[in-house]
Amino acid sequence: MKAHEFETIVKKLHMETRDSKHRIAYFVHNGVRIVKTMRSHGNSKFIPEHLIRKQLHLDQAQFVGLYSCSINEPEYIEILKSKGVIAADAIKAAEGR
Amino acid sequence: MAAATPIVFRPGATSVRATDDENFTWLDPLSDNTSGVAHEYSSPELFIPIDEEHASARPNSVLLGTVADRRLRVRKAIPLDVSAEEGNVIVSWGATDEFACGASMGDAIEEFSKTIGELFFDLNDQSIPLGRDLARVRDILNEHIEQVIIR
Repeated sequence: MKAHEFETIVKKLHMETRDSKHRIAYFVHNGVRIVKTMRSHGNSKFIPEHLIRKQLHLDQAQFVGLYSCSINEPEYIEILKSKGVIAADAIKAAEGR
Repeated sequence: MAAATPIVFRPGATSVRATDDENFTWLDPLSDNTSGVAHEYSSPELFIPIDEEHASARPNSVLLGTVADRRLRVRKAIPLDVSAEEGNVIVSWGATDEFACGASMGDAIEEFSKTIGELFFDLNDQSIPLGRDLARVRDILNEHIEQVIIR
């Protein structure tokens, strides 16, 4: 995948980013770091799409939907909930705060 | 034919052309009688059997025993899968979904080593709570890597 496609995902999910040796992006939900992904700096650097997809806990169709238009942040949260990546107990705890 | 001139045959050569003869007499290196032995010239053929499974010098997996951060020490080797895609080498640690890429296996391993060092400190930052998957990744990391006290 291209660096700009990676950045599209980062912006769309409002991921927290940090630039160090790499560009690291965390998806944070209710103050909890849920998912981490990263890419090397430089627009021409190779980014293996299937490994980024795995880090984001998405199947191919969902991943394509994410960097096209069909999946937005609330839908991504629902996907993570359905896969147990965002735990039900954590959701309740966050809602109770 | 200059009989006194030593002839050195290249490995695999089946014949050689006598260069001092305008009529190109072909000499057979296996024959005792090298004077005027005609031999049909053919290019040397060298067959090297290649085991398809081991055709590449790059292994399919490696064990990483160091991390590019002097504050960290590997206590249990990190198993990395090695693959290639679009001319890049990818090393990945399946248990954590962590990976790194490079132009060579050495580059990719070096990148991975840096990545994993950063991740160790990120995930062990107590001030930021982790979801269950990142907590699992942190636990795996802590199984393999430990922080050392530098005096």
